[in-house]
Amino acid sequence: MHRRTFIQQSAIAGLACWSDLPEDPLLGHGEFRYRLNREWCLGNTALFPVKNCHELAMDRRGRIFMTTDETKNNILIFNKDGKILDSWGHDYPGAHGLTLHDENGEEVLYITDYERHEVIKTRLNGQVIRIFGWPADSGKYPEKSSFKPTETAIAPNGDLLVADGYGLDYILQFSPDGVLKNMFGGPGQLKNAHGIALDNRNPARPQWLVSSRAENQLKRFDLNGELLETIELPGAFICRPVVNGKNIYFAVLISELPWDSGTGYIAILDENNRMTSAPGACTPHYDSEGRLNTMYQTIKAFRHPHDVLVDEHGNLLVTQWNSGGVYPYFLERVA
Amino acid sequence: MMKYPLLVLIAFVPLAVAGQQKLKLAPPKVREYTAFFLEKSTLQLEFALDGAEIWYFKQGDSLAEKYTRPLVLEKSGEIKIWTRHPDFENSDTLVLPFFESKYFPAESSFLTNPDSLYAGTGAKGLFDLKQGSRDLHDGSWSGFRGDSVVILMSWKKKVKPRMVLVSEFDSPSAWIWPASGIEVFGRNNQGNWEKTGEWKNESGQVKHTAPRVFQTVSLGKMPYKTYKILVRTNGRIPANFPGEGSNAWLFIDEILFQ
Repeated sequence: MHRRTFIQQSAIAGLACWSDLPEDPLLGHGEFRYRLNREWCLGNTALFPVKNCHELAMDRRGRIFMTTDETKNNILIFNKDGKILDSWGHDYPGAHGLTLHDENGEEVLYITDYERHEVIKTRLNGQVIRIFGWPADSGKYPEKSSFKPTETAIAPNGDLLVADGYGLDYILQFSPDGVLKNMFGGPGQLKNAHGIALDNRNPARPQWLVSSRAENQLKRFDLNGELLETIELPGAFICRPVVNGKNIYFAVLISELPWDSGTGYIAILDENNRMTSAPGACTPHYDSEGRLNTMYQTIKAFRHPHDVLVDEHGNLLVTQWNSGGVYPYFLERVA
Repeated sequence: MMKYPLLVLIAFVPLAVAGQQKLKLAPPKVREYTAFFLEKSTLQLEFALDGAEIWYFKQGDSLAEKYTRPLVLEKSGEIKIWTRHPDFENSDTLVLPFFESKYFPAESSFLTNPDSLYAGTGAKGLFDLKQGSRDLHDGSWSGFRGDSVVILMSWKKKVKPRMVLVSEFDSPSAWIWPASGIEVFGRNNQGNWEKTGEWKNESGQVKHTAPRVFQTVSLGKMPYKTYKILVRTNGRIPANFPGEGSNAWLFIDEILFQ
């Protein structure tokens, strides 16, 4: 039970002593330690049900958007205190990836739906602006059902990058009006290309960062799709990388197979792409040759984390897949 | 007069207990382990969390012990392992069985071929003491999807094992179910098959408590040179499970004669 809930319930009962409560132990390592709050959102699950909670994005007003494959409300909108402000969306049975992008002053959303085999661009109120369909003219996709997009990212020139993480593992580059311009990755280079992010930590040399989840790797590509580097992260089935400041954050769905093993955790890489903290997992350790030890879950704080949102204070929000229909967890940064 | 204090107690206790609810630890990380061995097996564990300890209880011992170094097992049995930390709830207990093997067939073959996607290394791969990982493509697993699987094996002279163990995978979310029955036959001097052992899941219920299933079948006392094992798949996946109505997969990584 979290303190906030405890205070609320204690006030009702008029009982219990605050000082008797032990502090929850911190999660994480080094400078990145957090106190877990599993009751950040105390929403009414009858009114706002969720199944798998996939991804998160925050708009400039501080509202947090989340995709879930529950078609009663595919998009839930929270404030920073975990209150559910609004919801919309009934037509996204495979609502998965979520990218928020400012386009000439208007913030828009890109929702990937692997069941519809489409990427849908919407306004923040849910109004559909454009649908990016399956790449029939690519020569790689014989049928619509083979395209199962999981994630998007926006290129510096405004192009849309789509990771086909549940399909054929290509990264597809579309112009803003939906013309396929380039493809890279694919089965020879990526295995379960679940997430993609623009890594602009070096503004002079922006690159694509793609998770090859089943290989426990992050791969770096230049903006033309040339593979530059593979970052080995054994024991990390990475959902999508999130670039924030000089760090990369990501949810690790599981640390070992099978896919429903419930062995997930969160990971944070430093500016050199070395794992520096792993809330819920063992201490990251590199040997003399620079290889990371195989990571594994130590604390059952999460089951199957799927995405991380970093707020302006360095706190984290974490969504989870296949974890009992829970709302996002909040990790307050304390170090 | 007594009503109020009683109500206060009822209201207070659940809150206080709930307020001290701890996060749970994960079980130890198993770094080295093989369930099947000829002479001895080594168990190496790890748990890199400050202040945490690994504990184990070996079948036949009287007390649990703190794990400090790799353990060497020389007999069939099982070890229970778990983690402890004062700030967390103890982990679930993992039970790791160990099986000593004494009988290796000179020849083996499938009378029912595995699915081409999961062909493993052929029938000999089921008698190599190599345990499959959780990656079903690691070459140790043979995957089947029909009604039953038949495997033939023979020795250079007659052998009299007391039991057969079939090591299987169980993952209902991946449509993989354990066997529903196993029959073992020996070929007599007249060339006829005689049933020498049988196990059947009489209830039809599967609990799915662990991803690994080690199913044993006791055998009769007659020795044979040639044995035949028939393993029945679970058939169609029952209602309310992923893949409902489809044929369940059966995955086997090892067959052991003891």
